[in-house]
Amino acid sequence: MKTKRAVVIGAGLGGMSAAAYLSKNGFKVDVFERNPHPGGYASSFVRGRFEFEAALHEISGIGPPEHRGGCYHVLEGCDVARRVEFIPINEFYTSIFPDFTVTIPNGWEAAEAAYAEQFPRERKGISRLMNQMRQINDELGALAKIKGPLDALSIPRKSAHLIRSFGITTEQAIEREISDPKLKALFCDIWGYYGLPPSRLSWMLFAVANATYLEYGPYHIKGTSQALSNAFVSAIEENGGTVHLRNGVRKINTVNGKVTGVVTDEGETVQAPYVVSNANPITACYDLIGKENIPASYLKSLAEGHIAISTYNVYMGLDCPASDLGVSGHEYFMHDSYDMDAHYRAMFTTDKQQYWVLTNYNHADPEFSPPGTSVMVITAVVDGTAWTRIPPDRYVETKERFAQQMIDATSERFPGLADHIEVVEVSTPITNMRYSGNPNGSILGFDYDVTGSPMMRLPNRGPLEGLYFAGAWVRMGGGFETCINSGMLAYGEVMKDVNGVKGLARAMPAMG
Amino acid sequence: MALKDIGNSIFDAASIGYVIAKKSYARALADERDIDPGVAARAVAALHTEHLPVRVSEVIQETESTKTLRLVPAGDAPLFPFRPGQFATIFVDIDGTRTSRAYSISSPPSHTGHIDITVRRMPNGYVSKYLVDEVAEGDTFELSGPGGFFYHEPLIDTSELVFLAGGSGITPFMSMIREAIERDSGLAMNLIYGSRTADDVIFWDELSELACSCEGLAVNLVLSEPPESYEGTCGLLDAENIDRLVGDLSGKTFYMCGPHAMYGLCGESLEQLAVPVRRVKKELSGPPPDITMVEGWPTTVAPTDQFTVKVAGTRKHFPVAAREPLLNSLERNGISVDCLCRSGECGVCRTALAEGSVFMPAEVGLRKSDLACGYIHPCMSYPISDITIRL
Repeated sequence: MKTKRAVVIGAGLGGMSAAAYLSKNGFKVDVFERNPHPGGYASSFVRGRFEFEAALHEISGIGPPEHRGGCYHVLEGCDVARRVEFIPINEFYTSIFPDFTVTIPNGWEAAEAAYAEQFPRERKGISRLMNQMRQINDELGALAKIKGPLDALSIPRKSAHLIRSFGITTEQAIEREISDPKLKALFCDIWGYYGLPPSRLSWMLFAVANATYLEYGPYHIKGTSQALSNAFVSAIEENGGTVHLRNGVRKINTVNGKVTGVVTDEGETVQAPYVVSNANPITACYDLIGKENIPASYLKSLAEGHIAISTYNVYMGLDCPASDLGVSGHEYFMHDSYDMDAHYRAMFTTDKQQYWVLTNYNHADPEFSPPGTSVMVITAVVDGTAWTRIPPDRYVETKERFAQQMIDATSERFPGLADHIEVVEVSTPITNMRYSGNPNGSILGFDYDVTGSPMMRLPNRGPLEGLYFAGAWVRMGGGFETCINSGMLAYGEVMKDVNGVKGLARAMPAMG
Repeated sequence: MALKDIGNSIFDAASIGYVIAKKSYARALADERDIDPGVAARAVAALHTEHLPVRVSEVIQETESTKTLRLVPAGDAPLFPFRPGQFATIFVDIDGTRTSRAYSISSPPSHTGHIDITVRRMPNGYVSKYLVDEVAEGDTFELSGPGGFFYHEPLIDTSELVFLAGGSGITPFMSMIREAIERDSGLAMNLIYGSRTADDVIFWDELSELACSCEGLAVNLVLSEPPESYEGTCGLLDAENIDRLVGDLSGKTFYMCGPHAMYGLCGESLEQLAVPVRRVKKELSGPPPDITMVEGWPTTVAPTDQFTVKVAGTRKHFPVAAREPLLNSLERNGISVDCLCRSGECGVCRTALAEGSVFMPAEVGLRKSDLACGYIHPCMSYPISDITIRL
């Protein structure tokens, strides 16, 4: 009999992952979500004869059947993996720089060879860098198998590379091994996924995140990430949980520093000793609980993290196949220069962006759109702050001007693109705020700087008894794989409390 | 180990200390005043209204069967920005049944103090009859935020626009025309307005005046049942009339808004005239007048068939007509599902179908994975067996 009740606030990936684990393990779970469809950013939408992927470019940590990655195992552990079809993407990324274009293939060796072929003089440095990334990732994997505090004493010996990656930026790490600024830009080109340029980005994060792509390959989800979100709902409901849509949570009830349940948007009070918030911790603490009920030290820790970037997307349904426009790959990173810090600075304005990506969804799945058509999305990572300051009556104009610049700049690389757009839809950081409720429309929660790397992020355990967090703002951080992980970690924290774990073992974060 | 490596190791060790120090320092400095948790909500609320209380400030009789309801905010919340051509959904309570309908906004966004919806009383119309015959100045309603994608999109649309309006389908074009002229937008607009009789023509005085005074606007009336003295274009919005009234078709973007029958004819005509698909935009128009005539309707189900709808987890069950949209049947039985477009497109009413089957026309904008997992858009779903839904 299911007697332990849990409430999950928000049906984003983190929340649904927590709910899927809880319901599989004997909890009666209710998930409350404001939107009419589940997934948060992991969703799709339909315009005309096209269905668009809202957020996912490529998911990491899946891997082929003979070599499954961490993300796949987490999905498997909550009965979701078997409901989803993952389609391998046969290349890592393509970079279009002002004076060269390179496609980086999948796999450690092939990727290393591609970097080295373009920059043969730096072959050795490239090799050492790749090796470091691999070791950092391996050591992190080994860390997950540490059993108890005693075993933890062996960490320094077993995790030399990991520890050394902890305090340094990506730029500090790569500058030791390579020197050509063009190679640095190529090597770090997917930094947009991680929200900070190499000069600010945690090396540990960069190494581990890239490693999950290189080790297991990037994947697309058949039917878009909405199919993944729907699969989560099916898994939760099959295990006896309920996902309530169009009904969010407006209040978290607390008594004497202990969570007792929630009040839904429809006004119903639901009692539950365990509440996992997929709503970001800032909203949860200030709006849902009230800051007077939160320890001051926790409010400080919310204030100290810098909120990460958001996205700007131009979704395009084209009336011709991608090949007609010379778009043959999955993802193209484009730039006006090699100065990544300048690219980053531009993201804080609503002016022309200097770093952006074109994703061609028909590459991985030729059935993605109707025959003879294609779907492409231009994405720029931008900070949300500037967008919150635009007067409402100037919003459309600003977003259109921005979109026109992105389409024009992309058309320079792929002539004819602009003449074949049948359907266009534009999303801004405001759109992200609208559907996720995230401050600044952040796609990653807090920044992945050296103080916000996965090891240093806010824990999944919240500031009050019975309160837990899942999602981008807490460990493991923002991104598909990391958010899916975070739900499992939140479940792990719940289980500690259910089992009455005390002391150091309770305080130590679960490693998954 | 090279000297460089030793140096790097020392540097790394120091940097760990630095991070911890930095983290502690940040915490010491961090003050909760730094956080403004309401920024996102305020930015979103300024652009996207959920449900807004509005009051009818004026009722304007446009034709015998058509009225414009001028809506102003009934509470503190201001009206929302929208793009000319978009609709808003008005929620009404008629004899205890809460339902809603989407109406194109006929006023331009530049008139920020009010929003006009122009409603024609349809034969057998439930809500339109109520809005035209019952509603008076001072009545209050809930209004949704703006919806739909039927607007001039400068990113992909040309600046030469052909508006194909049928009957009360003139309303979004009024917003577009008024806005373009007030803002001096430089658009070239050719309105081809099909109406049954001259008496049915809405906004005629304003349109003919604007056509005379504004270079960017041409107005062509096409009457299917013209009076004897009429010298203008007669017939329907068919290929021949469109071809003649538009002239050179290249470089023009076509917008269609009108009844279902018109879309069939206009769509075929534009195809016949070889207008590319991406140059044709079609506004939603709600459920078709007779779903059993729509392609794909199962021959085994008669229009008069009735089925039972059950709501999972409750004791509710009631009979529904196969030919009525499920959303309407639900509302009739006291079940309110939030919705916006009521044309199958927006997905706000997305609902799980636990058992049984429904018919949805092909144009319903259902996500592929929703189809696979048994979700439906009840506003354009017609039960073709006994069904169970989950709310």
